[in-house]
Amino acid sequence: MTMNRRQMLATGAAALAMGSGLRAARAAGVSADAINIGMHLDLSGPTASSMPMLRNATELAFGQANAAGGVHGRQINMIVEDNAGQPQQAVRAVQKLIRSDEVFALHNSFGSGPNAATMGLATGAGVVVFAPWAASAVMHQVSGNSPLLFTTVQNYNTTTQRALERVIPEWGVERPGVIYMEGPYGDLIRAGVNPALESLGMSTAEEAAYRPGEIDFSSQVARMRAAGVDLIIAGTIIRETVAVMAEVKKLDWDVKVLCAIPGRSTMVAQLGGADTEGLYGIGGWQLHGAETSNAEAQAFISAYQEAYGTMPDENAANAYSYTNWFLSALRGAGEDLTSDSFVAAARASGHNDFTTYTEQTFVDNHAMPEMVSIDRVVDGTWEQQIAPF
Amino acid sequence: MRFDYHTRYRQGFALLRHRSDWLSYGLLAAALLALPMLASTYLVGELGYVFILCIASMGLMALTGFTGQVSLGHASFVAIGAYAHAWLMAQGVPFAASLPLAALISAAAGLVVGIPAIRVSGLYLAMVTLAFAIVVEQIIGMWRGVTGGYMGMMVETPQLLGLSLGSPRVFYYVCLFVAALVLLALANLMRSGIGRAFTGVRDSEAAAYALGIEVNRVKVGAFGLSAGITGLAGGLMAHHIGYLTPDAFTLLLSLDLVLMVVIGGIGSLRGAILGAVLISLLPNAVAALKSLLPAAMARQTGLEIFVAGLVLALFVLFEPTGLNGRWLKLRALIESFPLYRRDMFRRQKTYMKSERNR
Repeated sequence: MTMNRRQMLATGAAALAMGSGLRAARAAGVSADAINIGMHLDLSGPTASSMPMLRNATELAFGQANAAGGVHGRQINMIVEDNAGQPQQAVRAVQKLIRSDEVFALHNSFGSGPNAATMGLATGAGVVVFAPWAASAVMHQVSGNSPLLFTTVQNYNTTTQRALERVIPEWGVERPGVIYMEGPYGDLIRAGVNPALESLGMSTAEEAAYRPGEIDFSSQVARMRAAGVDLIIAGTIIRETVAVMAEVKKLDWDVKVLCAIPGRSTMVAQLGGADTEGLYGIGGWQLHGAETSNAEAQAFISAYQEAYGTMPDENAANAYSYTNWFLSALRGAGEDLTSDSFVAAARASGHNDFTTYTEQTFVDNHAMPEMVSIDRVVDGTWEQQIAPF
Repeated sequence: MRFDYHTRYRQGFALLRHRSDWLSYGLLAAALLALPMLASTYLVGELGYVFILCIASMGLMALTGFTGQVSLGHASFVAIGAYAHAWLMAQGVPFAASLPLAALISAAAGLVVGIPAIRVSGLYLAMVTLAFAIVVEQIIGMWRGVTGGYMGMMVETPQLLGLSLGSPRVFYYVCLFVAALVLLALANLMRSGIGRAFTGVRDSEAAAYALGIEVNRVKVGAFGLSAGITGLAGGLMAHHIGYLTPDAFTLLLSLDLVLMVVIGGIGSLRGAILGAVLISLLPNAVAALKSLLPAAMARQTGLEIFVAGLVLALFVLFEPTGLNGRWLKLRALIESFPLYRRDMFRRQKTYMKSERNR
């Protein structure tokens, strides 16, 4: 076994030195009865509290596949490492996963910085990277458009642009304003807002930035109001979306607020209560609550609750959905699982379940089409206003 | 027991005073040099990172440990070093020139921060450095042309004399070489006049001033030196990460560096290294610990932070002199085995509050 591993590493190194074009089909982490899959999450950093959902849902999907006999007789062995939300720790985690655990693929790993820092390392070593939770376009750019990288997370810029180009004429908006976060997320949102407005022959009436961690949005909302804005485009995440809406309600101001994909979360509607009533959001996937009528979603929710005792959120649902897509690509690769056969199978695969709006396939290794819906909070839950387009 | 019999003045402050020191450090060096031949690639990569943190930790030690100035913003010097190095390499500057240049740029930034250090000290200095770190993080995010903004920038694979330094084993030697160089430089500096001036300023500014030491210059100089060394670590860190984004250099890294210096033992280079080794391997230890814990506990997130906090609290409570102090006691116990007195290290009455730092 050791000899085998050494040889494999040696051939891998030699192939790397010769150039990527000649890389031998590598199947590290795949043995007769097991496949090693790595996952790195922010278990001890700023977003640690939302990680159990990702880990549990991924574990659940793999567990179900294993219980059903595995993938072509191989059991999935999932290895979770901590990236602490920091690129340097992520590099260590991925080095361990690649060099020590010899994983076949990295799947559902979390964080833009951590994924960006480790992308070259992983794809360079011939490891498949599936569904990184990070800005998809940036990931492809960092990997040098590696064929081994498959992204499933919607691009916030293109989805925001798509939604705005639809609703601004439909709602008759004349003076849109933007509240955005300083940082990569805000950059992405503005990269969607600006071209959308440009194509409509408009420009923003007001822009206001906030710093990550800020909780008071009175000045940003006041600036919007002073500029006579008639649509606030909120490039905000959970807590900030609630805070913006609370401020709007406090001023008793009748203005439309539209948040981007991360803000259209069940948690926003729950946290905000009366404050978030009437908030519009751009939706990138189907939401399911406990009372959902979708059989697939019900099966997932009850299986999750049975295993972990809590109600899964939308991140869990997405992680579960991505994992099932990953599993179907693994099955499609056949008995002879190598990174090449996986890439071919993933490119040929399609995916449609209780989270997606329509059948998705990989176009240039990114899940397409990126459909969006426009939802609105009514009585504490998101209701679809404009069907996915 | 060992009694020194010096026949020359210089023997009193030789770096390695005894033959046994030569032997043990020689063995350590040989082991570190031979390790990449024997160990797995994973372990070699991990140790390379540990060396980078050792350099950064020694950089902060030069400031906090030697001149008694606090800094909560040292991650910004790591960032400046990393970005400067990556940018210079992107402009075609060779690795061997770019790394020292990055250190110089970082040192220049350190001098700028050092100027307020003349006027403020203690908690206020900590605040100034913290503010500086926040400003640097913002500048990195905004200055897209050079740093790539929040989207980040790619770091080129280092090359030296046409040889790629990209492989973990080769990079291990680069990190080891730089770490050894910094260690030797600082150890020598500390037994020179400048080093004595550093210690003088730390223990009593008034006394140092009375003895003709230019206190202000020493303070600013220490900042520059510390920032330069930390920037050197940053340059190597850039290669470790491979793709730079501002979230690699947050307050968490600054706090990690402070932890290393405090847990290692303020005022000693050995402490800086021991602290860096302990803090950088703590996540691995926690990961190993998790497999022994019951599933319900092992699945908790944030265990790493809890353990790091616990280790710090235990050190502050039971071993304020840090790992270095514990090591010195252990060594004294072994050397004087049957004759060890329990009160050997009991603190004597001190007359100046600064003597706490000794």
